[in-house]
Formats: sequence, C-alpha cells, structure tokens
Amino acid sequence: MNALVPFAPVLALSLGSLGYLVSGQLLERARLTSLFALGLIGAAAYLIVGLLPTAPTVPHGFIINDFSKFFAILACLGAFVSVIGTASSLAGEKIGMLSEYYFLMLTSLCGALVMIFASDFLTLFIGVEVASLALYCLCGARVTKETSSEAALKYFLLGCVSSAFMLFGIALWYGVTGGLVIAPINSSGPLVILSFVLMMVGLAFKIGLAPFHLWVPDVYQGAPTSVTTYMSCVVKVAAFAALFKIALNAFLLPTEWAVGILWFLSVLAMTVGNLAALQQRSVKRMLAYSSVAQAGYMLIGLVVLGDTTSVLASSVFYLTGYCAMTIGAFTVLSVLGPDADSVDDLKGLVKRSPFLAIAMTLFFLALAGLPPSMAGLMGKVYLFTGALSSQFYGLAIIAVLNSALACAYYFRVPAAMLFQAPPTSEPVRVSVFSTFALTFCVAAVVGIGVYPEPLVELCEAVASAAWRQ
Amino acid sequence: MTIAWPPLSSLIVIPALGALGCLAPWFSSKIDTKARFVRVWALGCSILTLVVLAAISRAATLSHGAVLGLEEAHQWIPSLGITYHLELDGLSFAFCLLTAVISLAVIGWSAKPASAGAGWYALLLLGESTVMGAFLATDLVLFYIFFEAMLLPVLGAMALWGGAQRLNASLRFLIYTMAGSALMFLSILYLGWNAQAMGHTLDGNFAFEITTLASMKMLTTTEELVLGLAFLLAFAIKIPMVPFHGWLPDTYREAPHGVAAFTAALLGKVGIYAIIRFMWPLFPNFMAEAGPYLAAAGAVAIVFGALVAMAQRDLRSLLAYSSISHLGFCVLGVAGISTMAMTGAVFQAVSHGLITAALFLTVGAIIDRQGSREFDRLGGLARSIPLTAFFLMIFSVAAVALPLTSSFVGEFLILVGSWKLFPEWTTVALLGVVLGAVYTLTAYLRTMFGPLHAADPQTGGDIRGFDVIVLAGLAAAIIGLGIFPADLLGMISPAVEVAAGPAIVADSSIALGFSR
Repeated sequence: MNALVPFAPVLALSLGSLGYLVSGQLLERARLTSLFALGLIGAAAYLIVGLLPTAPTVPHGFIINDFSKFFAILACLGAFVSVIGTASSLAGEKIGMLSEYYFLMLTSLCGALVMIFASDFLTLFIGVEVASLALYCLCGARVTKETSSEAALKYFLLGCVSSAFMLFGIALWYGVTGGLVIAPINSSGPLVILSFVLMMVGLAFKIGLAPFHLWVPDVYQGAPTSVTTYMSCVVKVAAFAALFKIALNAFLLPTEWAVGILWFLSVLAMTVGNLAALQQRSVKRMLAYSSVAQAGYMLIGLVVLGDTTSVLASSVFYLTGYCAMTIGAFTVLSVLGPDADSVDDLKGLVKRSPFLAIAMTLFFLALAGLPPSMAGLMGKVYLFTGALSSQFYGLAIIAVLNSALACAYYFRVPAAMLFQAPPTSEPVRVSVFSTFALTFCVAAVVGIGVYPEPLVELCEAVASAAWRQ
Repeated sequence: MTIAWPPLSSLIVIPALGALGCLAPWFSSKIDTKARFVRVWALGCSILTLVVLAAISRAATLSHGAVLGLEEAHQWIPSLGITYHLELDGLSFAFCLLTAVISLAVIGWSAKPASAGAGWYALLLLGESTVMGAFLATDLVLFYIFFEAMLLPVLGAMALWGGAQRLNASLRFLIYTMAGSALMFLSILYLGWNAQAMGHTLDGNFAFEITTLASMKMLTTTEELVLGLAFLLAFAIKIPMVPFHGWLPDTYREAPHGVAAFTAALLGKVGIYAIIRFMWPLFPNFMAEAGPYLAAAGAVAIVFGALVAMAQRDLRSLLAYSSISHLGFCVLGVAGISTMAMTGAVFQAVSHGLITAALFLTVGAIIDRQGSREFDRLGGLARSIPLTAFFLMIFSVAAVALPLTSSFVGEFLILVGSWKLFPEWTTVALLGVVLGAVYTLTAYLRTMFGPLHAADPQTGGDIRGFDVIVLAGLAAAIIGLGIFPADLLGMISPAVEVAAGPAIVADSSIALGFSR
C-alpha cells in the first residue's frame, strides 16, 4: 500500500472525478457540483502537503521533491480559486452538463499534476495529453456558441500537431540515450539539439510562447470565461514546471545553444505579445496576448541561469504572482457575464460595482508592474536583477522597454472602468463565491508585493530543488 | 540620529490613511454632511502632516544643531537587499515642507471640479503621501516605487475631472514617464547587483541604499556614463527639461486647476531633488562631465520656455511654458559643483513650487469665474475682482523674481553660483530673466487692465472665504522666504554639501553666512 502513497493526490483526483460520471443527474445541482469539485481539489492539495514524503523520492515515473510539490500546490490553488470565482457564472454561460464540465476540469488538473510530478518523458507525455484532451473539450463547453466550438477545434488541431512534435523529440531522446528517464546525458550532438528543439516547440505551444502562440487569443476569447480563468493559470504552471524540469535535468542548462534558443523565444514572446496586445479592443484577447508577453518574462529566469539557483527562483516568483493576476482579471470578466469582452463592456464599471472595478484596476496595475499592487513590480525587480547579474544586458533592456510599452494597453482597461461613463447604471451583482476569490487574488497581488520575503525564500528553496540530486 | 517617535513614516502614513478615511463615509446617505466632513477630514490630515513635519524638524534641530539628519531604517526584503530606509536632512526637509504646504493649499482651495467628491481629496492626499515618500526614501528601489506611485493619483485626478482631451493627455503623460523611468529602473537594479558583485555588501547580497552605494566608488567611467544617462533621462522627463517636455502642455491644459497646481509645484521637483540626492553622489565623474551640457540645457529651457510663453494666447499654456522656463534655473543650479548654485537651486525649487501653485490657483479662479482662459476674452478685471488682482500682482512680481520675494533669492544664488562655472550659459539665463518679466507683466496687464470685455456675461465675484486665506498664506510664505531666507538656506546648504559629496566646492556658503 505504501507504494501508492506518492500517487495519492493524482489518484484522489482521478478516482474522485469519476464520481461525476457515476452519479449522473444526481450531482447536477449547481451548488453541489461545485462544492464536490472544490472538495476534491482541496483533498488533493491536502494530500500533497500532508501525505507526500518530505524527503526527495523517485517512485516509478514520479519525482517528489520541493520543486514538484510547490508547482503542484500552485496548480491546485489556481484551480481552486478559479473554480470558486467562476462557479456562479456557469449558469449564464450555458455550459452543457455541469457534471461533465467539472469531470473534465478535474481530469485536466490531474494531467497537470502528472506533468509536474513526472520523472520520465513517457509519464510527462501522458500528463500533457490528459491535461490537453480534457481542455480541448472544456473549450467547447459552451455548446450554444459558435466561437466556443471554433476555439475547441483550433486548440485541438494545433495541440495535436504540437504533441506530435513533442513526441518526436522524445523519440529522438530515446534513440540517443536508450531510455526515457529525464536525466543528464553527456552529449550535445545534433540529435540531442533536435530533440531539445522539438520538445521546446511542444511545451512552448502549451505555454503560449511566440511564435507558437497563434491559438492563444482565439482560445482565450472563444472558450467560456470560466475555462479561460482556469487554463490561464494551471496550464502555465504545469507547462513551466515541465519546461524547467526538462531543461535543467535532461539538457543540463546552461549550455550555449540551448540558452540561445531560449533567449530568442523569450524576446520574441514579450515583444510580439506586447505589440499585438496594443491593438486589441477585446479585453480577453488583450489578456491573451499579455499572457504571451508575460510568459516571455517568466522565461528570463531560465535563460540567464548561471551557477546559482536564485535566478530560477525569480521566474517561479513571477509565475506565482502572475497566477493571482490572471485568475483575478478573468474572474472579473466572468462575473460581468458570459459575453463581456470588449473594453466598452467595462466602461464606467466603478459606478456599477466599485469592488469589481478597483479589484480589476489592481490586477492590471500588477500586470503592468506598477504600485500599489506590487507583485508584478517586485517580480520584475527580482527577474531583471537576475538578468543583469548574469550579464544579459540586452535581454534586460528589451524586457524593461517592453514593460514600459505594455503600460499603454494596460492603462486602457482601468481608464475605461474608472474614467468613462457607464452605458447602463444597472449595478453588477457579485456572488459571495466570486467576492471571496477576488479578495483572495487582491490580497495575493498586494501582499506578495508589499511583503515578498517569505515567498522569495520559498522560491529559492523550490528552485534549488529543481535539480535532481 | 534616530528618534523613536514620531518616525518619518508618519509623514507618509498620515496622508495615506487620510486618503482611506476620505472614502469611509462613502455609504452615508446625507450628501451635504458627507461633503463637509470629507473636506474637514482631508484638511485636518494635511495640517497634521505639516505639524508633524515641523515638530520633527524642530525637535531634531534643537537637539542636533542646524543639521538635520534623521533616519529610519528597517529591513524589508533581506533576500534582495532592499531596505525600507527614510532620511530627513535639510535637503529633504525643504522639499517635504513644500509638499506639505502645497498639498494643504490645494486641498484647502474651495474650487474643485463640479463632479468631484471624496475621491478628489483622497487622490490629493495619496499624491501628498507618495511625493513625500519620494523625498524621504534613500533606498533606490523604495524611491523608484514612490517615483512611479506618485504618478497614479495625479493621473487619476486628471483623467476623472480634466478637460475634453483628458484621457489622451493622461495616456501621453503615462507613456512619457514610464518610458523615462524604465531605463532608470534597470540602472537601479544594475547598481544593486554591482555592489554585490564587487563584494562591497556586508551580507553578500544586493544593496540599494544610497549612502552604501555612493561610498563604494566602484563604477567605471563607461558605467557611470550609461547609468547616469538612464537616470538623467528619467529626471529630464519628470522635470521636464527641453526637449523632453512633450507631455507638459497637454497635461497642464487638461488637468483641473488644483491638479495642475499640484503637478507643477511638486512632481517636477522630484527630478531636481533626485539629481542632487542620487546622481551627484552616484556618478560624480559623469556629472562633472555632463555639467556644461546640463547648464546649457537649463539655459536653453529658460529662454525657450520664455519665448514660447510669450507666444501663448491663453493663461494656462502661458503658465505651463513659464514653468519650463523657471525650472531651467533649477537645472542650471544643479549642473555645477557649487554649493551656492545648488543651494540656490533647491531654494528656487521651493520658491517656484509655491509661486506656480499660487499662480495656477489664482488663474484657475479667474478662468472659472470669467468662463474663459484666453487673453482676447479677458481684460480690465482689476476693477471687478480687486482681491484676485491684488494676489495675482504679488505672485506675478514674485514670478519675475523681484527683490523681497523668494524667487529673487533663488535665482540670484543660482546666477552668482554658476557664473564662475558656466559664464556663457549664465549670461543666456540672464536674458531669460528679462524675457520672463516681459511675458509675465504683459499677461498681467492684458488680464487685469485694458478695456473691459463687458460682453462676457459670466463675470463672477471675487475670491472669498477660505481661498483668501490660502492665497494669503502662500503670499506670506513667498515674501517671508524672500525677506528671511537664511534659516532655510542654512538647512539646505550643509545638507547639499553632504549629499553631493566631497566633489563639491564649499565655496561661498560661509561668505554669505548661511551656516549658523
């Protein structure tokens, strides 16, 4: 029985979510389905903290250490908050069957956890596929809306291609090493480089890094807002965990060629993302492109990796803060209704709901890296200091100019909410659940910025565990 | 010297809490009592800040001679070497005093945009809090946070209650300042890392505290050049120096009067302050090299601003460009390593803050009551609004630096101090003094005297009530500083010498008898 302990969180999620399929109509009461999902996610998080061994262990196909545990907790927390925040807006979105919806979401979370815990490429790939397949369906969950189906189809087709790339990379790795374990090899032959590039293509697609970001705006916009909320955080967390793990353990960063590729990806993502976001009128598309740019920042920690772990810690720190910002921003959109999307829909929001408007302003300020919600600002201090200390001056300058440029579009949404007249004076009702989730996100973006020391220390510990002992 | 209470944080915390307090009676149903309560509350908070500042400085001066040097330091983010470090010396004190006085004046000024309620006072108090923080912070990251944060209340107030083009103006203001400060942000991080890399920090971590960084002398000439330029760009946009003033005309045209007064009086001063506080100690060689160029930029700004101001057809634009011109003196003053010029620059910054805020408020009163800001539609107002005319006269002659006003002292010290260092640019600046007199007095004549434009139906009454007290207070401060400048100069002068480091030539402060 002890052999199963390391797999307990994943098992709890996957077996528990089967409950939705068995119960059928029984769990179709809205309140109950959400609570059941929350209970399962909470149980998984509890098992990660309470049951998993504290010492690093490598059971079959899994690796349990501080690194994977932190990312798993972050994914569970993100899923938890996004489920709380968007539970009450599901009815408006006309999601087909609520039990199916939550089954798919929990399955995808399960896949994300497998990605995070995986210690060999096969397990990793299974995790990627489980997470993705469930998400493809979720994106089409708003059955009455054409764009939702379009998003699902687009995500599915492009996702399959990217999976194929990744699988080919894994196959090459198998060819070179004769094994599938994510462990260092002393070779940088062309096949190894090709294998790295192909795997990066696959993961860059999942993260949404330019130039593999073309699905991001369409899917973020077309999918139900509740799904977008969930996916903007959990998918990024899982894919970044996988990326860090592979790059550090299998390809032994920093190697010169790999750094070159990642540098290019990072610069391209932040520049393309910000330039494209400048022109959006749709808030969802703006946030989608902004997520591309933010992913570019998060890659910096990996690019500039020197001999120290503290640089990687800055990426982990930024990712954590970003999760709170993006969940918060999309939750506000989901509260505003299933079709709230254009900047015009947010006009004069402060008159209709001061709480929503102020929360949204804080999220956008955090994304822009401005006080008082300083999670973004502190993250940038951390990231850019790391880049400078590794003598990546060019990257730091491009990144800081990008973040100045980004203010131009991040300003637009708060400006519409606070400074323009509302089209209707009808107040917006915010449910207790959403209020709770938004308060949590606000506390996170402000708290992380005002008192970052504990999280910084935690991220240092997490980053130093990223290497396999 | 460290004192237990009141800590310097209270200067930041009181207005910030005041701002929160303004929003507290949001839910009250009685609109009238609410409005009055918020106004009294905001006034109380800003008066309290002023009193606390005076008390702190008095206590410190009594126990420690003429030199203020209060510190408050806490660890903030030890892992990144970022501290919460505030310091109040004579230099900071001059600017903090200006901040407290201007905030009080703007909050006390009764005319505010029609739709503005509690939010108006909340934003002004937030502005006071953040500007105060920028003048007190000596940790560079902390300074950067306040430097960015002080933009937001001003931007918010402008975008909420500004003119027709307010959103575009705010966006332009934001983009300019963000673009300017982005590279400074990076430079700050570079300095912090460099301190670590050179092994100069005690705990092997980054360091961002200015005295630690300045004492290291670790930068190469190239580093000083690159970092210095990045800092200078940020401050050149904030002050603004020509040709980085693109945001200024729009901002001053669209902002409500109070916000324009606040912005003109305080925001640019942070740039002047930061050049003395941060750039001279950190990049002494770069500043010595850049001095002549800075002086040239100052002189050009003086003449350029004056010439453009002469061509303006409306009062607010004239004030905007005259502000560029007057700030040119401050830039000229901080360009060279002369105690006299630098002391003069700080004094002129304080004086300009008082005068320009007073002018924006008075002109705002005229514009509100006459319904027009253009010279062609104003004229002969001296008879109908004598009190306004009287105050405008005081502030106008103060603006042209007549003796017995504060700006005379400031400009005189700057010109004398920089004469030895940059004679040619000082000569150009002198030309600006003459031009300044021309456009200011012409504007006064055209507004107050000449034929009355009786066709204008909106001719309202004179200023009255609390507004008279505000203007009288500002006028008293301007004339008081003009007649008795020694106390303030005696505080500024030693602080400037310490701040600007050993590079400075302690030339003439003793000859002038500032050091008590």
